[in-house]
Amino acid sequence: MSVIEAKNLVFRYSEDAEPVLKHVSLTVERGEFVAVLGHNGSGKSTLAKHLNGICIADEGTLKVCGIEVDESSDLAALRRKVGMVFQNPDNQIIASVVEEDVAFALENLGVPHDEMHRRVAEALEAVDMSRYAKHATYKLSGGQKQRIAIAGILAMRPDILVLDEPTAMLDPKGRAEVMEVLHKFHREGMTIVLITHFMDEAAQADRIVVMNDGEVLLDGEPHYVFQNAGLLWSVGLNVPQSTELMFLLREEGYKVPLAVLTEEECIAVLDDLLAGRIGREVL
Amino acid sequence: MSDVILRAEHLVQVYGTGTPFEKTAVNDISFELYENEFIGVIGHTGSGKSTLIQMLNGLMKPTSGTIYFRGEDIWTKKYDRRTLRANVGLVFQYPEYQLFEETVEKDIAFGPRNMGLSEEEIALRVEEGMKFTGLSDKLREKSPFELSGGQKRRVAIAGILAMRPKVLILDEPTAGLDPKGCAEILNNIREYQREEKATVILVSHSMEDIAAHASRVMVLEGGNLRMFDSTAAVFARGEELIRMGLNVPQITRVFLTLKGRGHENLPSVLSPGEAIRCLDSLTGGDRG
Repeated sequence: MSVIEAKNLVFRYSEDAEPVLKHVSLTVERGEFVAVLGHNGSGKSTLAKHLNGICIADEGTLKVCGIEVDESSDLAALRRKVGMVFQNPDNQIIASVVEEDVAFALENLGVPHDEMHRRVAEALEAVDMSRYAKHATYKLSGGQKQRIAIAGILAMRPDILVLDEPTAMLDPKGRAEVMEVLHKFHREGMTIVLITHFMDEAAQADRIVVMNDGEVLLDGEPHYVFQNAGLLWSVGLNVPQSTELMFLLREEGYKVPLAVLTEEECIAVLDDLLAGRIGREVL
Repeated sequence: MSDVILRAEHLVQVYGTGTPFEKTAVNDISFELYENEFIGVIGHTGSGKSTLIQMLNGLMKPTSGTIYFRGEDIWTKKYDRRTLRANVGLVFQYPEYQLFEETVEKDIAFGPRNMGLSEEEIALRVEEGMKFTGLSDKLREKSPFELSGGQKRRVAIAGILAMRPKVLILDEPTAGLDPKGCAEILNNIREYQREEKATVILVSHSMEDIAAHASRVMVLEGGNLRMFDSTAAVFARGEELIRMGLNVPQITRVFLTLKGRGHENLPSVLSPGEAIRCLDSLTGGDRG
């Protein structure tokens, strides 16, 4: 079942401006983990902002979780279904105590007290932050703050989680913590849309959508998308280092596969290469 | 050997002394940095990186210990710390939030003007700053607030470069930029470093960027300087770095794993380019 159906979306920030989205069509199925790549200004964040009605398209149609998104939509209902997490954790933390921060949206929604406690506990458990429930938010690390921000969204029990560069400000451990949490939700059936500049994060998704100048340039599973290294480089993006090495080996005539993304895949190929099991064309 | 430009001796920074919240952010750190080198600084959040770099340009006075710029203690009574801050330029995280002037040109000119330079010299410095950060001349009269995020970041960096610092410290200069924008800004900084024979200190969470540019790397953990060595030597200690919440570039991890699985003759590599050169030399014998 599709949870996001975008058809020919066109969007301009002001009437006389160039469109930021130029006829974008995209369908996302329930339970998919989709990464969105694109250079700064490619329209990927703008696309994300359409998903919960922060931006409303000038042309085209958008249906999210069965709700038609336009000027007349019930945005409050839409935003309960589509949770958004942004780049800067400090801008998303409101309360001074962790559990109060996670409860913030629920209080606004008027969720009954007992139910609220249950949901906050569950959400903290989900992001592995239960033992910090009573801690001061300002003392947390970036990765912990970002997981609290995610817990606050989760407590609203959204159908879709949209994250706009959630790891841009985090150290390697914080990044790994956030990705681990996303994988867990994905296994439990949540639909995830992750906007990122990190190729290794995109490589972990089921599917990658590459945006360029307001259009969808590539759309497919990571092994397919990263085989188009030349195209990605030409639009200011990159490929994981393992993939890049395969392209360099090919240029030297080694008959290595190009569909290599992960460390383990790369190790297997290089193991074969070093053992003389991979041929080489004399160029 | 180049000359020492910055020397830190037993630097200590304690916050909240005498309160229940007392915390040692930097704990007895000593090192020497030379002219014309590119230093990488890595460490997880709260490891003391920001505290350390703010002490290096005299923004923050160490609780104890001494900092020497070109052999002079920067905290003696008569030392001119105003000039020091032009000599040791510090680009904060998300520096675009600090832009405030009406035009790009005025914003970049702010630092040089504060240095008391002539109008002629200021104009020259602005031009230089724009050149080093790859800003087109057409942007000169624009409001910095009309620019894209990447361009704003360049304007902010240009404003520091226009002071021609001998030491340039950058805290996460590429956070939130796309891969091409990251590469361009880092290459610009590299060019400045080479042309001016300056010392660059790059603080980053991107192990790939550090591996690509730094010749030496400092590793901070819990306020302590755990490692300070050549980039290759630091990233060869992958397991220790991972235990500290850090990492090594993906290609470095691949080679370290292969080494552990019986390919003992593999060296430690820092980039795909280095990896291919090494593989080529190991298997190159059968080339016709």
